[in-house]
Amino acid sequence: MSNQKLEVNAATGEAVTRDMTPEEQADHDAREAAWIAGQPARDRADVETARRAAYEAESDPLFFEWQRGDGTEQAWLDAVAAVKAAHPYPPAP
Amino acid sequence: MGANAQTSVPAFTAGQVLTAAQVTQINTGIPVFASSTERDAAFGGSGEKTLAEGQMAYLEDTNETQYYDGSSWAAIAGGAMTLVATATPSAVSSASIDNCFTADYANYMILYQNTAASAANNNLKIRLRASSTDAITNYYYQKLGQFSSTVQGQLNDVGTDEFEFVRINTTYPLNTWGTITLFGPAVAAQTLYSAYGGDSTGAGSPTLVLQNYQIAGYQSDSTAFDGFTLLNSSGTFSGKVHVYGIADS
Repeated sequence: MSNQKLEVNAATGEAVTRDMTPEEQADHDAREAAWIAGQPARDRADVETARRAAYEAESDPLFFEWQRGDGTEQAWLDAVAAVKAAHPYPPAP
Repeated sequence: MGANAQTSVPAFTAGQVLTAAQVTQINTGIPVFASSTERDAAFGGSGEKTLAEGQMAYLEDTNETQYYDGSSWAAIAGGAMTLVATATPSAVSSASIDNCFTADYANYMILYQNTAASAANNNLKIRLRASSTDAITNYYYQKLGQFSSTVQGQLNDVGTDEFEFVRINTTYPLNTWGTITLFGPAVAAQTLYSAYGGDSTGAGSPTLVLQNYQIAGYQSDSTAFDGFTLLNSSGTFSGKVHVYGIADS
């Protein structure tokens, strides 16, 4: 089934919604396939971004406390593990 | 010549009894003329007003309201922004607006509000267009995106065959909106692009989860574009599009 395309002519005000031509449909299908194929990578990138922010906010301060002798290595490792548990990577496709 | 059009702007004398037709003509407010020819002939004759500064006129042939500045007629300037096109795509995968970019304006603004989407979390993108054919190369842009407290920059995030615009999703389709500013699309030189968009991907407390994007870029072809196409990455979209020409002065 063809996807639909809207065409508006601003000079005349005419607006027509029609089936995509075979060429337009092929372009749409190719872009859609590429988008779907890239979804796992985008999902993983989203998790990496979320983990990076969580490390900065939650576990990095514990690392530096441990380095100064004010905290324990285990507290830092626990915080890192908690971040990973809160932001799991998506299953492999 | 329309019902309001007149060929003379009379000057009345003290004590003169006006006819119903004369009073009706006065009720029009600004005198209406078929064209500038009738306007120019309507003043200064026998029994007519003498043309003077501050006189107003409306011309039917050009749909223009004018004022006389004491030496010549001039159009009353409108606002700096003029609506040049609208579109309401409904469950489509592509929406093109042709003939909206002309030499009348150097720069244009496009407002978009999404109303529905069929696929989760996909991008709405834009291509420039000339003579009903999309340009599909040479789009370069940098995006700054913010999600919660995370800020991320991306170069040519969806490739160089189109500009990225805004993300649309099925969770809160009404909460996707954006503005695009195009600098010089109708000039045969590179077109500058800037866009701002936001969307909401999920429920949150106390507010919805919000994302926003700022994108700056250019399309490097030396092409005078006359339109554009909105297209999404997957599925269909529905929304409201308004295109405005921005006057230089």
